Amino acid sequence: MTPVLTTDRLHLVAPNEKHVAAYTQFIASERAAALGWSLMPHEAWRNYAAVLGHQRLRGFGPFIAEARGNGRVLGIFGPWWPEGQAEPEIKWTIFSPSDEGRGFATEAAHACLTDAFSRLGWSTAVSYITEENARSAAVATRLGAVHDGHWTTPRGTIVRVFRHAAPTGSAG
Amino acid sequence: MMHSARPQLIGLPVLETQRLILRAPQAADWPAFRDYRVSDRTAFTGGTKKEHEAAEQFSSFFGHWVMRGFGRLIAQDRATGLGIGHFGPMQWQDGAEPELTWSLWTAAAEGQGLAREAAAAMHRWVFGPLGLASARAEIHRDNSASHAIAAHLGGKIIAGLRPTWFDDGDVYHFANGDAV
Repeated sequence: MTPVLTTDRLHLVAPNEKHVAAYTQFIASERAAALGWSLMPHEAWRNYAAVLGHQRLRGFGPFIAEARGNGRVLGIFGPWWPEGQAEPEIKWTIFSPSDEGRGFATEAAHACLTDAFSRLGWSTAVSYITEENARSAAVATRLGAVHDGHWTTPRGTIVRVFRHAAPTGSAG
Repeated sequence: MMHSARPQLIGLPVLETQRLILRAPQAADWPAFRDYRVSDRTAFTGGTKKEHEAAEQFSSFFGHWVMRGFGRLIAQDRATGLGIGHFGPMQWQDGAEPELTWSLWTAAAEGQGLAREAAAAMHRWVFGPLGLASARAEIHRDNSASHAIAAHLGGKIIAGLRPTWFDDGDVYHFANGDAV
């Protein structure tokens, strides 16, 4: 079973059917469009179903971050390695602009990295970040990742590869 | 690279027919599903997809079961043990009428009545143990084999309604209690 990862401000939990509304609302947002998403509502639902399926196919999958106080959904974070993707990735996506700039992505991604290198036994991890996403590149840098070339996604997008080192104190 | 144990979908029905077993999708079904989905066999079911699109669809089979409590089953040939197609209801929108789907993955599996056999078992489960009140199916104009299955299952064409997924075809309605 997927554990709950607890940080100072967040619970990172396995995604389930309760989170689909927050996810599909994000996909429909201007923020998601700016990040390259363009899905119809029914496609967004199916995309979330595919996120849930990742857990069943790989034995691991991303976490939903809930605020510790009130359970509010802040975003989706963590291990992601669908078919067609070159390497295992640590992802981070904050759903609302109002939750940016508060360190949530760094806090959640750090917990996910620690979990991936220890519980999941990963020996390497990358994050794929588009050239224009400076905010996300800054998160990667804060996490200690280094720019390590480029990768062309199956959709044809050229992204920067940021490679993570095992977090201090993890078993990886 | 280590992997955690893969959690399987649990509690799903297993439907047995004379030649087939319809059971939960498994990670091992991916290569056969991919080969189907990137082939031109999908002309009547949304068209040929790229591999990463096929991967998203395959992964969504699993999450669909988690969120809806029903979804696609994989038909496995009793003789060979190979998965030959997917069969089951899907519902991408809350409140929408579920859509029955049936797809054989290879040409080699055609022409033997296997799709009809699996679709009939799926239909009995959907309107029996699962207990859906109604369902529909969208079938491309030129997909004569699929029209024959819909008719065999007691589907009634909804006059004037066009499919969502492709330009031309029919939408069939299925109601609980209609005899197969």
